[in-house]
Amino acid sequence: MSPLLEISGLRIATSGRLPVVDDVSLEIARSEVLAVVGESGSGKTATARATIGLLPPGLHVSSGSIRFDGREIAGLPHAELRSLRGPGIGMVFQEPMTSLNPALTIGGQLTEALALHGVSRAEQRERALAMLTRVGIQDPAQCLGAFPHEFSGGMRQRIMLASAMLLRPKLLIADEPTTALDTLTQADVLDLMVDLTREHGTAVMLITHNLGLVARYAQRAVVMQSGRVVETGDAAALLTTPRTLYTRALVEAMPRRMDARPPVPPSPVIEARGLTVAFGGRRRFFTLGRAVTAVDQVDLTVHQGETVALVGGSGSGKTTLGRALLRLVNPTAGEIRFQGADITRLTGQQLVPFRRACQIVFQDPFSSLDPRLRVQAIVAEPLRLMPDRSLDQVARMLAAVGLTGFERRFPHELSGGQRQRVAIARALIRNPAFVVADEPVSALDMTIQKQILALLRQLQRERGFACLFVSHDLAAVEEVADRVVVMQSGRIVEAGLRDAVFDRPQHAYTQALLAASPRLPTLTG
Amino acid sequence: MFGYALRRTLSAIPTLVLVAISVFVLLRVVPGDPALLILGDAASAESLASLRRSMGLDLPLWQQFSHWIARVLVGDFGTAITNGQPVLPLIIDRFSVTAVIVLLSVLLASLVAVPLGMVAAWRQNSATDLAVIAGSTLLLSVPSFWLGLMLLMLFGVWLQWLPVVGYVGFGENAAIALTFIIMPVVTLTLIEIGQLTRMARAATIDVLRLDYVAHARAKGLSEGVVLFRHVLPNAFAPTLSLIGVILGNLLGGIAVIETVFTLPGLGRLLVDAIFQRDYPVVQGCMLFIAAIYIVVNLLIDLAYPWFDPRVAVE
Amino acid sequence: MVFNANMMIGGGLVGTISGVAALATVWTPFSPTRVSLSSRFQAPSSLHWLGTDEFGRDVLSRLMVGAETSIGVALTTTVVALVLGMAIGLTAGYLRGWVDRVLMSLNDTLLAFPGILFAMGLLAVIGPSKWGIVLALGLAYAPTVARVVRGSVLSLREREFIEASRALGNGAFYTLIRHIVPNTVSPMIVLATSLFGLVILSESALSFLGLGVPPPAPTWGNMLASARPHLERAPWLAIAPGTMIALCLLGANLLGDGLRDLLDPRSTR
Repeated sequence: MSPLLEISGLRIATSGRLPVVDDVSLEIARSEVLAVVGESGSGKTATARATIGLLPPGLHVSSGSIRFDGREIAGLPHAELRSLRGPGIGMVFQEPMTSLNPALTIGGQLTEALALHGVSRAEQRERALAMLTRVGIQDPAQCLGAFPHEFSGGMRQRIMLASAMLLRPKLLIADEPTTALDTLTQADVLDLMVDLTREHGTAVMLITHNLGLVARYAQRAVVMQSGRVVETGDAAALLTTPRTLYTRALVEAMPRRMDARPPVPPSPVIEARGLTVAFGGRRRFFTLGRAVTAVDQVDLTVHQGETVALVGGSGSGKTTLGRALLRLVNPTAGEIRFQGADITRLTGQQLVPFRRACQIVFQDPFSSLDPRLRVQAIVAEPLRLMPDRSLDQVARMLAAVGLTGFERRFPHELSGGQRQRVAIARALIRNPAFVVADEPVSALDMTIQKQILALLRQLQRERGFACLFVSHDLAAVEEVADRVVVMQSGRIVEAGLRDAVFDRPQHAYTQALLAASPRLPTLTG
Repeated sequence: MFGYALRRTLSAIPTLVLVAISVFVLLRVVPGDPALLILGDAASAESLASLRRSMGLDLPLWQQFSHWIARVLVGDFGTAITNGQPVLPLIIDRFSVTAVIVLLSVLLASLVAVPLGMVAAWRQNSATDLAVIAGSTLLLSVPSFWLGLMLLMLFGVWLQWLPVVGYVGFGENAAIALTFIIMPVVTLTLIEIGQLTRMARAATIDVLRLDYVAHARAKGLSEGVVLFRHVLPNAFAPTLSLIGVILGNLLGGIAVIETVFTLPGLGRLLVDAIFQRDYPVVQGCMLFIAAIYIVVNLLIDLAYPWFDPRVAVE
Repeated sequence: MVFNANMMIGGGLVGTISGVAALATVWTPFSPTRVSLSSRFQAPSSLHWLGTDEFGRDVLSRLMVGAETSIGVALTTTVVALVLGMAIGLTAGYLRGWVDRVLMSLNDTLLAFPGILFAMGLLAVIGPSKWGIVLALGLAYAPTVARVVRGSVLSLREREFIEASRALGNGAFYTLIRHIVPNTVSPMIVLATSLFGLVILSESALSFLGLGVPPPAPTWGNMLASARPHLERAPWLAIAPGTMIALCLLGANLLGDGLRDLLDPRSTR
């Protein structure tokens, strides 16, 4: 039997004739899940969009063939291509916040394509209700009349999935469908997607940068790099015995557990006791908004030279806790001690010595650097008001993060990984005693993540700072943490040495997180 | 939803009060003694004092304000110094001329500009798009009163199709009245098309980039449905806000158009009052226009959730 | 895009008109105010390139002096509005809290008046004059600037590099000057350009109504106003000043579009 989708020699070029996808060939059998894996710039999204004829303006298919269900669809007139979308090929998008129309009700968006295919109103509603129930929406009847902004990201992705699957497509293209979600929700949504497509006999093209998902959900995988296919094969085999250097580099970039470091002698750098952060409800004309307790009675200590990972889903309060320890968010109750001194109530100038001794590395390297300053000025800024400041120091710090010679660049001239290196240099130039790393690698590609994690580990070994590593990504945590602290709804539900928490999780939430976290089989050969 | 409407409506009240205070301060306190203005320099001290007393000018300022605002609330804007007529009926009479022109031109301009801007955005960087951008930028750059003069010269003076001077109310003769408002309406419509088309185009381009448009297309919907159902409401919301701003600017600057076409509208009333130092009329006009502007913006905000339900949540 | 046609054309137009305005301070072909009843309503000729008006004054000379007035008023007014607006917007956006609430409710009150109406109200009180116009229009447009500045300060505050600056122990004022103000420069340049155009338009409208710089000093607006009764006899009187205003506005609009493309490549407006 011929494959459902057969792409051969596909070339996608910009209007300036530069190829973004070059000579790509792949096939998907009926009911098969094929993962297309690659880092940013690999051309995976362009390939997917070309398949459904939705390339963004400025890109076009310049040669090659896309055969769907025995029919050539590259270069098909718009009207015919359109008739294939929906019941032929459906698509789920990455960003749940922008992929549903904010001005239309969920019901309106679910049923509009059904109406196109002559389904009666009553049946439209019935099928929409059934599908919403299937994707796990609590009150489907009410959901039909609701607007997208009333739902969380995970719920919106379920609704998106429902909207695509309602038309019973033969092929579903899922473009990084869970990248914007936290680990638990990601697993839920992907499990649902795989089950649902299996029930309908729908084939799936799963676009992802996360190799862990490949191992778990796909039968076969295609690895792409710089617009070309570098390797195709059975998903499990590809991960355990990669044939090309690039795939091997990707697999090796997956975080994995290092040998536990010898326990550090207890020398507390920062200690929190009963720390609580509540955000007062915003006052309105008639009502007082509900106050939210983001961090609730938390005890936490980080010792010199160790990395403590703070783990939890979105809304667990982990980010707020990290900010509160640095006094960037004011605690409502409790106590914070830094090197033995109580800093909970310090204000203004009193805080300056503490600020100088503690630093933070943010998640988003695109917004954490002032776009108007050069790298040198950014890294030198913490030295302001220091008597012994010198440009040598800046040069040495830049060398330590591997950015020698980047002094005169602006942030927009750097890649994501390079920006994160600048942010690390800025944080460490004054040799802080305590560093909060708030999801420092989750915005980066896998191979870059690996480099940044290695850099952080190396700098910590050299400089001995205490590090609080805030993350939802258990794989990265497993690689860097000495101890792990798990948060749920503002409270710490489990804490312990890394191996203990990963191998013998006690709390149900930790167990669920670990089960949802995609991990690789062991690499052989 | 109801909560949003109530909150938004109530929030207009302090603005109205502050606007009233600033109008009061600007035109009642700054210019000096109203009694002197009414009676002139030659008036005797006694007659000035008695007029001051009867006008309440001997009272403390806050009492003067509260008396004034209490009268304003029941529709008593005072009387014009020049002809002794009550101000509010005068304003309303003149406003009926202005309102017709302004509303008609905004309506016509929206009907042309929104589809035009959307099509230009949909065909971004095509010849159509470039033509639309060039045309709207040109229109945007023409001063309304000059465009009015040019139309007047062409259709009034040279072709003599339309009258050059004067005005006939719709109550007297609707057909003739129409000939007097065609040119002002066309002038304003053309100017507004310039602004609105650019806005509609920019808003549409922003929306077209979003995933939900790709999602709608991925479901197999036709381009027409995608544009009308998915793009239009979202792109119209920012355009609607601009329409509010334009209405305000039109009302504020309508005097120039009324001067060009010799229309007895609100703007002309205001400018004449400024020349005659007839402060009660100036005060009334400013308060009236600002209040209309606030109400228009309120109505637009109340309509906004219809296009973007997110604003009602906050 | 390296070659930015909008900016070059717009810059060229505004530059040329400013050049003419500068020239007018030292030289005009004829006296702009000398009345010569023998040469009234002369059509454009090799002597009077743009003709003469109802008092026999040379239109070209008056146009040049009008450019001087308009450009001068527009530049000073734009600076006044920007300085006032930035001071209010930065203070409100950075301090937030009650300062923000007080400043913004005052600001919103002024915004509740259409800009030109507010200027007319002020002129009614202070009387028409060159500095009166600058003051009235400057006050009328400052609230818009304040709004934009405050908006960009608030959105900048959410960016992580501002939090990073706090984490470094930098004071609020230092962060404001070092990180926030420089990042509002691009939107301010774009806004200043469009304000410049808006002021040219408002100033000529006010002059047209007789609320601007008083005669006999020529302005584009009052030249248009005095052309109104003579449309039939001397159409050139209405065409020339209007063309100047339109070219000036077109220049400012194109320059604004070009600067916006240049300073913010993602923007589409």
